[in-house]
Amino acid sequence: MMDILEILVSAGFWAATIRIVSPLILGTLGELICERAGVLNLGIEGIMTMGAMSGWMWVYMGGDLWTGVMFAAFLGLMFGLLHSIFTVYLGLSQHVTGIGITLFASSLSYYVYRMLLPDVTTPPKIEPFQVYEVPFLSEIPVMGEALFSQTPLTYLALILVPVVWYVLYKTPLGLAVRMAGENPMAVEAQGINVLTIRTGAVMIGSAFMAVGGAFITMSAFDAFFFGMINGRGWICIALVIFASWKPGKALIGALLFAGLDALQVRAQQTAGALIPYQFFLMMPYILSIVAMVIMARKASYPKALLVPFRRGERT
Amino acid sequence: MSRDYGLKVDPDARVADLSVGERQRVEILKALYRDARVLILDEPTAVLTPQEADSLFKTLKSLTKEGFAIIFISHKLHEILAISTRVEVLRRGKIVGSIETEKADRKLLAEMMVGRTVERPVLEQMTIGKPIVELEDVSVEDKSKDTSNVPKLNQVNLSVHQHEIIGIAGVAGNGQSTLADLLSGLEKPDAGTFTLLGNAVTSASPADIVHRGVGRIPEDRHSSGVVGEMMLWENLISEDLRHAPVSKAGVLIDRKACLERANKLIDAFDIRCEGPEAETKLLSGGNMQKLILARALSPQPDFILANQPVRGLDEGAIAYVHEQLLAARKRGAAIVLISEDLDELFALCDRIAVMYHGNLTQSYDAKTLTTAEVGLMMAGQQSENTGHSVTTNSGNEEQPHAN
Amino acid sequence: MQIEPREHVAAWRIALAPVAAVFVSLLIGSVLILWVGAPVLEAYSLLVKGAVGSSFALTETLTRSIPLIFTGLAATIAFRAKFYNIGAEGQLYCGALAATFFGTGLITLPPLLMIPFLMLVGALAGGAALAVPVMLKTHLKVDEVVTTLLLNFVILLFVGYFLEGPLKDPMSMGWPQAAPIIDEGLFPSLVDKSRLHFGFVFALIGSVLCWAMMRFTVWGYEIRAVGLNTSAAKFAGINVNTTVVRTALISGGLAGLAGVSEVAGLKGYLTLDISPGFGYTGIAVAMLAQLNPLAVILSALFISMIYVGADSMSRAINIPTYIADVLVGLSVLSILVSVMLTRYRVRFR
Repeated sequence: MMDILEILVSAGFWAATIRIVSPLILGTLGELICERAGVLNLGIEGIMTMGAMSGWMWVYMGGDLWTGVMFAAFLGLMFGLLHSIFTVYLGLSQHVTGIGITLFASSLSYYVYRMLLPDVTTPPKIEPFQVYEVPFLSEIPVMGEALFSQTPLTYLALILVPVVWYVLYKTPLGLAVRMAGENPMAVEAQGINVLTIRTGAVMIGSAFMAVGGAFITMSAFDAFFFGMINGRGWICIALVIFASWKPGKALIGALLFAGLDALQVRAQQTAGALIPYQFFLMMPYILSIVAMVIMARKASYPKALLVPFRRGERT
Repeated sequence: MSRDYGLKVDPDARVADLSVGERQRVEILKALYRDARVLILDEPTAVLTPQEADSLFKTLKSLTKEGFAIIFISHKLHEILAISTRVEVLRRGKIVGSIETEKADRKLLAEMMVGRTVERPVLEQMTIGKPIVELEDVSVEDKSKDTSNVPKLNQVNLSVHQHEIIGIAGVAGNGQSTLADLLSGLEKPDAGTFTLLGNAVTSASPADIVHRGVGRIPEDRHSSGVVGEMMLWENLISEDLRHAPVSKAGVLIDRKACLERANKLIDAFDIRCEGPEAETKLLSGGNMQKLILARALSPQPDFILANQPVRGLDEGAIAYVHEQLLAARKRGAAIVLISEDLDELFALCDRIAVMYHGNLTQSYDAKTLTTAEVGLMMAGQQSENTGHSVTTNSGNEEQPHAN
Repeated sequence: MQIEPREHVAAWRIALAPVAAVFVSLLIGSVLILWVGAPVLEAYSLLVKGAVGSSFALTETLTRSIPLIFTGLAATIAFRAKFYNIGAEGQLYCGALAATFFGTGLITLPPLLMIPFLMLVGALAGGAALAVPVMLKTHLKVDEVVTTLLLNFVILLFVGYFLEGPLKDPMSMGWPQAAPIIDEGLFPSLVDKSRLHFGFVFALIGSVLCWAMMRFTVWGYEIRAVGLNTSAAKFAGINVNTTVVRTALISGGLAGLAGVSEVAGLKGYLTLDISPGFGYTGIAVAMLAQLNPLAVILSALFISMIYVGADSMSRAINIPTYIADVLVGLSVLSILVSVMLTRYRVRFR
């Protein structure tokens, strides 16, 4: 018990939590935006892989870090567009399209990586984003040290939470997005094009996911590995459900999750001899399932989630 | 604006708290606010009581005086006759006739719609037999998360006898669908007793209720009546899967026997189709409804639940459905007919009861009721002030709970 | 642009849909081959040659199709009921683990009983792996997509634990692998001097049985009705939850059989890399087959051809082997569009 308490007051633990949470926040917000507009995006795992590979590769090929992030985001937009053409304009199965996009985007990432670097055996490294210590704030013990000694992408992720909340709840655009996910007929009756709104939401959401992937290779690590996303995308989808499709709750859920994950890593070091390490590694996935089970009863799905909208057709 | 146009709405109220009639006024105001000059109303009265509909008509008439053009789409002929100046009749996507309302009457319009003369069925005088379905103080609780606008059932009493059609009137969304779910086995009574042919129904099982002799015509034939992508013969056996002759030992489906049966039913119920192996979704609305009738009525059920059985059908198909229901009544079936169309209820029913906010009034002899009385009950008003015909109707002093 | 349903779906369109989808995928894939700087036609002819060009290549392709037929059937049956089982990968490993647990000496039976026994426990284990997600779906309305996906990771770690712990082969020199399946449990070989084993026959039988179930039985009727229109199925008296649970158990069982056949038919022992994503590829197989169990055989053969052929093509002209995965991903997307075009027509105006 003392051990856990000790961990909980160490700045290192909290800094690790914040680091783990960054890609989850980006992915969860991205998925949340898509689903709020009525589109389930199971392409998330592949889009994050693509973001991780492309951002890293951009920098490895000589580009600078920020344009690398933008390149990853751009590819995210493109895969989002692909997803929307299938699910929004053609009204095809969102489940199967998403799985198809994940298969396609991740295998394409691996293909391109192998094509550009055919002979490497150990993954080459780049100079990743460096920690930027916010003056004064980073000197506050524990929480300040953890929260304000992070890389710029983490700050970006944290700032995006209130931004997404504001846009979704306080702007006409956000209202249109939410209505597209609840009652698309009503949006259409207002003279707003549901298909455009949904496409825009899926594209932006996918760009978020891609940046979330890029964080992993450009901020948390400095290299690209195969299978590196390792289910993070699916965890984000579980987190969206856990958060009842609300950005603020998504942040809390992601933090809780990342905290437990960071705890798990540290517990592994102390209790690793007693319990096989695989059981520690299982925790994030099991936790995600548990989180969904807890919230599933209360979950209020966007009512038009998974329902394609065809103009002039009554539901 | 609300005042200018005589559309009474409280501007500070939340839309969710408004009645359906008020919400409709909000919709009209929304259109007027954006300087609309032409209003298109598609079946605007479907969710209104007759009184609310009258007030809507007044509004519309005053709007036309101010120079608005209004297109009013409805399948209720009396509304068309009451509100319009000119009528265009649509049949299969084409305008088949155009007539000044002054020169039109019900019969003429009906004939234009169908393309031939239509006879309304006549209710034959019959003595009722033994009770088939009895509900005593049956309540169904609301198990959904949003409790805002889903009235379920509250201590409902109802008994239906052989040779009897009971009509259930009410504005859409006042608990009729829950009553229908209960009678078709999708819901179970949370309190009270539901007796079917002398035995209590305690659990929700459509299969069980069908097996016990209930024929059901669902409200929405597309979403719950048939599986559109399956073949006709497959939809005809869906309530009977595990019994001979449909399947052997409840495992293997006997396709030959099923096709034979389908062919018989297609003939008997005059389903116009390319054959038993045609895809069901290709059927017209009327023929799809005949398929459902064939499935529900061919086992000669003792009790029939018909929930909006003629919604969206043309006059010819409507007459067919009504004939079938009357034939079943004659044969000795007990029937509950849920409808939003009062004309239909008055034409077909022996007795009529009204649903409001999950409560059901006692049933009144249809011959002694008037449309206005039913309309007031649909709006949840006490029946004392509706005239003597209601209160002197029977010794059963079950008054509607207005809240 | 306007999308209108066709009144009649012509049979030739249905047959042509996968062909068109494959063609489009290959066309897009050729862009990637050109990017590497390799000649497209030569690459594809090398791919075909590498997959069916020799009797060795042919048996390799057939061998590789076995797990794909099983996982393809698993996806087919589940998707028919609109139960999105994306966890065939995990169920495959559960089947393999069960076969390893019982088949490495715990129980010894004559081959005629031992092989069916291993298949039975493998199928049960695969079904059991799906029991939790399906119960969560029917009882607590937890979405099965995410739970089955996440369980894949859990199960793989679980198997990893067994391979490094209780089931580790002491003779394996430190590699995480299990002891070999006893001889009585090994599937007989089908063609001499090849890796093709009896599992192929089992897979064919499985396809025919699934097809017969969907077409001739009450269970199949219920699966189709629930998948096409749940509320109509419920109204008609079909027990939707029972049907979904039953479907899930069948689906998981089929995926488990893929694991048994890889362990007892191909490798002889369990490792952590017996499946390079067969569970996920099974979804592509099922989609290309348009959820028809018999067509699963053809589409599994085709996809296995791409994988086997891509291996030898990439050795010959230096195209990354991931081209096979790219083509599979692309074909999932293009089959969706081409199947839609069989049912709808697109009009531009």
